[in-house]
Amino acid sequence: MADVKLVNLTKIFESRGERVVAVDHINLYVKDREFLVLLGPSGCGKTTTLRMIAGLEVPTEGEIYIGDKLVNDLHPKDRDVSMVFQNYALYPHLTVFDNIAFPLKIRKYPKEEIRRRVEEVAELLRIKHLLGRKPKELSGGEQQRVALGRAIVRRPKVFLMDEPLSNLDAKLRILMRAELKKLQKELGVTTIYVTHDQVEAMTMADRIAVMNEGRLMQVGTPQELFNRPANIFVAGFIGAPPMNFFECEVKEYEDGYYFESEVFKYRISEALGKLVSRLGISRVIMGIRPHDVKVSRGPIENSIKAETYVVEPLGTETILDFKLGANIVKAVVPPTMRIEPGEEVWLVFEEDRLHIFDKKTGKSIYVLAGSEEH
Amino acid sequence: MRFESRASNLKELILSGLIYFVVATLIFVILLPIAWIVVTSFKPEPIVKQPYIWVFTPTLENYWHIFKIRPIWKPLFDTSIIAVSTSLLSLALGTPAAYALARYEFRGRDDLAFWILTFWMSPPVAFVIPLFIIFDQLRLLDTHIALIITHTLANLPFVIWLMREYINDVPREIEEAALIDGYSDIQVFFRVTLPLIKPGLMAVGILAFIFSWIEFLYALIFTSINVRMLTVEVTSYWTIAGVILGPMTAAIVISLIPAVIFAFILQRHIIRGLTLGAVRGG
Ligand SMILES: Nc1ncnc2c1ncn2[C@@H]1O[C@H](COP(=O)(O)OP(=O)(O)OP(=O)(O)O)[C@@H](O)[C@H]1O
Ligand SMILES: [Mg+2]
Repeated sequence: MADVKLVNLTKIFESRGERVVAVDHINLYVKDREFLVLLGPSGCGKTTTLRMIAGLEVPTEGEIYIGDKLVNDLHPKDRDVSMVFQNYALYPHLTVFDNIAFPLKIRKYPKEEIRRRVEEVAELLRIKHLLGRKPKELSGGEQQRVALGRAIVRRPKVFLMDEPLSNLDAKLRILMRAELKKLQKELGVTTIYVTHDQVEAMTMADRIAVMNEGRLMQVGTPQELFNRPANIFVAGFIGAPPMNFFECEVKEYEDGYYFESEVFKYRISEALGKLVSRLGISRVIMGIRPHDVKVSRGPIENSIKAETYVVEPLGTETILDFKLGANIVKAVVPPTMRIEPGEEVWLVFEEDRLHIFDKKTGKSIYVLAGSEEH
Repeated sequence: MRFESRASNLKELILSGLIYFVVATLIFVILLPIAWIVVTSFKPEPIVKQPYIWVFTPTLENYWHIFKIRPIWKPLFDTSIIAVSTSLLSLALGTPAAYALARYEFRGRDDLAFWILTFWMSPPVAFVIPLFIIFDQLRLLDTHIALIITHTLANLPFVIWLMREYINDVPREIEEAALIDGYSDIQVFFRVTLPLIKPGLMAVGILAFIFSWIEFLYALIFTSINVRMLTVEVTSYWTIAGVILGPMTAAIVISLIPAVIFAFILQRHIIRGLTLGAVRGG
């Protein structure tokens, strides 16, 4: 059992004169027994980070600790981690059984125990009937489960998993998420799990580390990330449908403070206005989640007039698209609310549901206000 | 539209006819001398120098000659030793070199690889005199070792180059998975990579074998009495008294047999080797 610590971890690829900063000074602490999800868009450096932890890639800069031990110069076999590769990397000349048994055989486990463990894992992953086959006789999803099996058959210090469920159908994926999460808690093996699927991240993670362009954007529990995104990137990346954003100017009039966009004037509280002006921010990005947008059929105070554009009934809820000037605003409402396209409505944004970011830095004003205190 | 497609059909027909004609001509030109040699080797002495006679009662007297009167056993044995050793040594030296060139990043790697390949393009004659002097100094002239070394050196460029291609076809992640699963770098090479490039080893090994089997220039210059390659042996039927055509053609036929057999095996392995890429997962 071990914790994992990354200090200023950096990887720069240099090929044919081109410099790619794949991972950019990442500082991350993964607790013992924690299920940490690395989440981010394609090409943000998730795989590269995992590969450095596994010892397959030499960091350009920075340190990696596994359980207090600096492992930068340790060979992969001595780091005691197991890894699921994004493209499976099964041994093509071995059967499924031998693929899963491989790490145990190298470590000279007794034959009987190898058989027992492989069968246990195969049962869990629903691939018991495939044990005699070769990888090329399997579908993509089956190969992926074999790759997962090879990783979890062992009890290493750390599991490293690179999108291990990406190729399963929706039903199996949901089942496997639950099985994997349960297994991880039972075994208590520290796990770093890569995905670009935010639903997977939200449902499985103890904590999520969001990455973008090689940098760590925010680390926190799913709830923290959802309720208090630290910057525009995290705000836009987490949550579906994604958050609505409006660019606004901060204005102070005689009767109080306002956020003014090209199409609306939104009155804000004295406290918020003071906070923003104290931080010296003149332009903000105002964000609100579609679930937090209130829709009214008549004008009420501090509401914004909009025209209904698209109505998508999903059964349990209805997604509404409104036209607000050149922008589209999304709202999610109960299915009982019947609104027709073309209908005029008034949108209400409650202030405590707003996410406000500095236009210049993209950072949340709550983060800025928080760091100001220190 | 219809007219056009008919025209293109006709064009295709003419084109494929043309291709068949060219290929048939080539095969005929290449196979005719071989057919003639095979036929001649079965001719009785009186008609052996009459190339236009194709129908006669075949005889084995030429083969009796090369196995009994002037035994071909010794050259056959020498050639086998040298070709097999060359093939194995080329693989043993070339495969690790190819592995390093395929898998390790170092400065000037691609230049080094290309530089190795240029040796393949250089004329063998260029190396004859320096090698002769070296072997002379080392007292290695007229030994098996001299030819095994020379043939291996001559083979290494293409062995390295081809094995590098086969190794590149093995996804790096498979080796990396084995590293994480607990193998050292050396173990990964022997227990994971080598089994996966077995078709490549077969194909390239056979190529090296055939090269050595049919090599003539080095064999002629570096060996004489103690060691005798088949290619040199065959020319010895060219005497002052004239060409002893019957036994000579019989010797050629004998020396062709292994090369032909291996060429057929090779054909199968090259096709198999090229599909190695398909083992990639996902
Ligand atoms: N060997 C390499 N040489 C050069 N650039 C590389 C190499 N490996 C990765 N990169 C670059 O580094 C960046 C991060 O790659 P990485 O594979 O870590 O992304 P990722 O987050 O895993 O993406 P995905 O979700 O698509 O798998 C990319 O821009 C990629 O092009
Ligand atoms: Mg990746």
